[in-house]
Amino acid sequence: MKTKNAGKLRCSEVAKYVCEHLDEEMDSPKCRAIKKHLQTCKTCSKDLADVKKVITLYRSESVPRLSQDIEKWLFAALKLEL
Amino acid sequence: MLKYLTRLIEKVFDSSQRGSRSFFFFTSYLSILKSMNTDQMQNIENEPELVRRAQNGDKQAFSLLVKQYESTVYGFAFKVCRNEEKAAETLQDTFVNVYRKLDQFNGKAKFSTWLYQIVTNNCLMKRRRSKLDESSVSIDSPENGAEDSEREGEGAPLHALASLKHTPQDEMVNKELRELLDNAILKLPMEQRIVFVLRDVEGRSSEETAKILKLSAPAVKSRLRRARVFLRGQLQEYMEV
Repeated sequence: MKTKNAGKLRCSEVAKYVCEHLDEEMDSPKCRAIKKHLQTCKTCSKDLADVKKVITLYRSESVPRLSQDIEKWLFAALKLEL
Repeated sequence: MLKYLTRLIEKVFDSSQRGSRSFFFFTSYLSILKSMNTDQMQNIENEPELVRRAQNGDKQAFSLLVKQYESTVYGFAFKVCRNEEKAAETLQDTFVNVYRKLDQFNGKAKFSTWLYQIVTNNCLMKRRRSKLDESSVSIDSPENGAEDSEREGEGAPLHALASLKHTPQDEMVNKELRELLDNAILKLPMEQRIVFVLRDVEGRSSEETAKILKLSAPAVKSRLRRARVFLRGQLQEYMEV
């Protein structure tokens, strides 16, 4: 899942999440049934959309860059030359 | 490419010019390029050899391994601990353990998988230690706790966000959202949190996550499902907006 597509939700991706959980192949009978279900069930598709949103939020969050001070501290602790 | 550049320089500078300053400049530049290229090859293409050299006590090889993975380890630790100081401590503990246990690495798994095993163990141990600390809090602890949460709120991600030139309103929303995300994930049991970060945030496969955590694939999926459901519940308010 790419962050730049965060706003869009593709059914194939939604189905992939469900199928990953169920340990099924994308084109297995169970997976096909889930896809069909998602087309009609608003509750399930909303739940899955929310899960995807949660993942997108955590993925797109910025992580501090490793500072030079921390790197120096690390190398000093390991008695290595930077 | 380097061979081609060397030949080109030799052609451009005929024998009469080879003592000139320009020739000296270009050949020096080439030798720097060659040494950089060697290091990158060791880093990217010849990791097993680099690991073997480090196992035999080659400090330069170990430095290159640290350089190669320090940001990955730090980033992962931050995503799990949600705190810059704890992430830095985990980074140091991880590489100290890697150095001590390097001879135990047998090359059957990927080096990165083995490294993730060590960093996840450190995260779990840190969590256990902090639980012990919490159970023996002193009379000053509420004050200290308030200071800590304040520090966390103003923590590292802010300097990363500052460069994006957000408006004060954007920054307030970002800060609120970050606090929401921090609070939600910190409520997750560490075992589920690590699975969520490995699978959904870092994008590791179920198989690799299972190897890292020495769990079965169904156990990974079960923890992941519980983590996703829990976080969705915690962030429900934000979803409705």
